[in-house]
Amino acid sequence: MRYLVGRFGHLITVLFLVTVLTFLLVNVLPGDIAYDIAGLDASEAEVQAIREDLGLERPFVIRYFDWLSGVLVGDWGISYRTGEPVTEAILTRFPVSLELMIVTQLIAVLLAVPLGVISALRANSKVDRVVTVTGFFFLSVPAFMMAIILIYIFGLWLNWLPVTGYESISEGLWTNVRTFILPALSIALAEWTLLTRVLRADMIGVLQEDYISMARAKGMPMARILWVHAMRPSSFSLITLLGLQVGNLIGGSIIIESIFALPGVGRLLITAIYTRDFMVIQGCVTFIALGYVVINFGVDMCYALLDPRVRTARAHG
Amino acid sequence: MASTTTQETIDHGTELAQENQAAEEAARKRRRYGPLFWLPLVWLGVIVFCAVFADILPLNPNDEMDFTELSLPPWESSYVLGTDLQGRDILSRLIFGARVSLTVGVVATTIGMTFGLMIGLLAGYYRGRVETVITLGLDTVLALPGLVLLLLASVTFGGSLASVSISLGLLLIPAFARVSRANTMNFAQREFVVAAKAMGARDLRIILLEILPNVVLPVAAYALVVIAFAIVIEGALSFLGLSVPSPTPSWGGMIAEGRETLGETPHISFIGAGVMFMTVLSFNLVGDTLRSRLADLREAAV
Repeated sequence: MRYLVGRFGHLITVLFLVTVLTFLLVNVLPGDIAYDIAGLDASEAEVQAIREDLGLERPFVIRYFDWLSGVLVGDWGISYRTGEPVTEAILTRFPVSLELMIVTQLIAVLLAVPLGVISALRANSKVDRVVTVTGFFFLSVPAFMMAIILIYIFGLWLNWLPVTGYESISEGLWTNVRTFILPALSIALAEWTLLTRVLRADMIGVLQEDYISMARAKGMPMARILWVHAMRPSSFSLITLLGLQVGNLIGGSIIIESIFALPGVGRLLITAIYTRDFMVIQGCVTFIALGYVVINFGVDMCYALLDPRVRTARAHG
Repeated sequence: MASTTTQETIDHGTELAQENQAAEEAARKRRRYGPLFWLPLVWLGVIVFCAVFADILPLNPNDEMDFTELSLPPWESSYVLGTDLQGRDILSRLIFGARVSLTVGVVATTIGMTFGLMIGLLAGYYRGRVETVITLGLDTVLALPGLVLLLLASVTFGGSLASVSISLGLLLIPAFARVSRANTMNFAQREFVVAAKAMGARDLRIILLEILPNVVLPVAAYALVVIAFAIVIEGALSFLGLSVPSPTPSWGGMIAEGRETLGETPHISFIGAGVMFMTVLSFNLVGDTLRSRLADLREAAV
């Protein structure tokens, strides 16, 4: 329990520092935001009015704490460009990003688990080597490049899947999921490699444990041994990595969402960056950091649930 | 009956272990300098050569537009690799683009490694409060996906070769710092460090002369792989149009330009993508081989 509290305190501190860092980067800028908003042919008085309206005259520290106290009660400010509340802008786009992330991880795990298990079972065989080498190649293809390749093959050449655009779930589940397949594949095709590697390494270790030999000796079918006895102890690193990769995933999905015109948080952030819409940038980054930190905390918890030894060891340590 | 089964199982186990060992030995041999090491090395040599001597090489100017030959693929054009949407020589743009990618990759990695090493050495040697503060700082940077931080930096500092290299370099510090810290902690307990302390050596001397030489090699082994990573990130940034500004050629920018007409003239995107892929893959392959070589050497030394 003390471990939990300590970890939680650390996370809160990190989050706080992240928001300060973002605020600094976004607000200590060359140029004046007010001029940007007012447009090119605005008079000095108009610019001044905007400046006062947004409270840009006040010192940095005061503005920061003003923003922070708003965030804590759910008021994340208003977009300088559209006047839309930032919370609303983020929350309407979040489901799209979430769905992209889930489909991506699903594809990555579906690829990684069978390949990892086969590689572990037939370690150093031909199959194993082919999987490793293929993975190495895929790992060297950045998501945006993969997106271009997939668009060309499946979108333009074979004409199987939509290239851009988003259909809401109200248009039917398949219509909706279809628009996510290429974007998710673009990220997942690099993701599975690392997942396969850690699963393979863990499983090779587990398969040499006594209780696996015992199960084999009893004549238990190999499939049952693999999926029931070996899978759980082999999946710790896999789960940690799944959590850690959420960070890469968020980074990758920013580009992917722009390429495939998916209206998610990543695209919101990119658009805000292009239009220098600072409140939205600040909000998106805070939101992303929050999600990232919460997920890492969740991964730690999963660890404790999966392996009671970790729970007690950490509690005592 | 039961005992024979157990015995058999044990035998089977040791057999497996031996098999594994032999296979690992073989794998280790394979890792050494095969064609998967030399070919990438040659490719990197060519890329680096072209990038360095881009000004002297007999190339068409990379920004001159030839309106008689717009978006022509290599086989229909008088240019070696064809032309892009604005009739510019793709080969020339590729080579000048290599400059951007390599500069960002090398400069960012150098910055990240230098500062990462320093921070890691301090955190690993002094532990205690110094370590706590440093870890907190590192965690803050790591709490944001790298690309998000870079996007933020591009808003603040604008896109130029220098600003992208520096902000990407700062971003790479935590990873290097973590590796150096772990390695430093390992060595800080060793006999030769204790001996140096007993002889009254100052901390700075111990860190620089006793620990640093041991830590620098395993950390540097990551450098090539990190360069590959940096090139990918720069590519992503320039793909989004947030790296070097437009007339300057960059690989990511070339891929983005060709995207508009992917159906009609796929060569524009795919030539850029192909070169970038080969370069990233080469850095990864060479880096990985050197790293496992180093690991083998250390194992042998122990």
